[in-house]
Amino acid sequence: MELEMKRKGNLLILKVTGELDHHCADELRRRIDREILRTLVKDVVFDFTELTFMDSAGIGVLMGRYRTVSHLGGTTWFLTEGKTSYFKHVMKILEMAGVFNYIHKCKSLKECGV
Amino acid sequence: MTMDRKNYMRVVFPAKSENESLARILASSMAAQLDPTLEEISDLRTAVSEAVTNCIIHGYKEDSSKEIEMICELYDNYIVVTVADQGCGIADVQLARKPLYTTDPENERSGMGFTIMESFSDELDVESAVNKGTKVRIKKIFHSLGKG
Repeated sequence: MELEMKRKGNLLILKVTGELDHHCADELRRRIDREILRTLVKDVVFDFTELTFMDSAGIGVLMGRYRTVSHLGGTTWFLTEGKTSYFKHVMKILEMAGVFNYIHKCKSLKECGV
Repeated sequence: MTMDRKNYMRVVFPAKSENESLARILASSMAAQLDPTLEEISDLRTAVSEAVTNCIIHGYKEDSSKEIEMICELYDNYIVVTVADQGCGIADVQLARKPLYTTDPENERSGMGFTIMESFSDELDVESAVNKGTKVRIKKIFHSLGKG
């Protein structure tokens, strides 16, 4: 698992690549939460388009950050335009868990207001 | 109709979270011998990962001195993966299998493990006894291969 964090105005872009499972979820949570509190951004967008594996640990990471961000009055976005065949699988898991009842889908970063 | 078992393996590994990926790789490598689609392999990897994660988190409460056993059995057009621990067991399996049921919301467990295993496999059996352990049997048919 690799995490790339970039700030654009009030938006924190969180790109996670590689494999996201229970093994790396704790580290991911810690690094993202630290960055949210350090930069005091309002909104975050998750880019999972280049993941090569994800299981229910991904649901926990997304919903946990959603709670933090909405508590601070921000919005959590999720990029849905992945090109890999694995990304369809990621979407299937997240749809099944109902995370998009809370997290906003977006096709590009423009939609997140940057 | 019974089908002949074409290949199998039995592995034992400690309940360390690093081994979640090891288990996925082993099970999917064996399944790859049948040449299923990438999507079918993804389903299997996800289901196996959930099963092994359950042993580590729930069965053994992250005690990595304990062991998990995985058996993979390959048939003409399907694989059966059995993942077993000798941990705390599940008192009410029916309840545990319900979507969003979690014993540990504080640690951001989604409660979707069994639901995902169920959706991504063709058959899922769960046998559990309190203080004895839990055994999960995942059957994944590779429909892309026809009836075999």
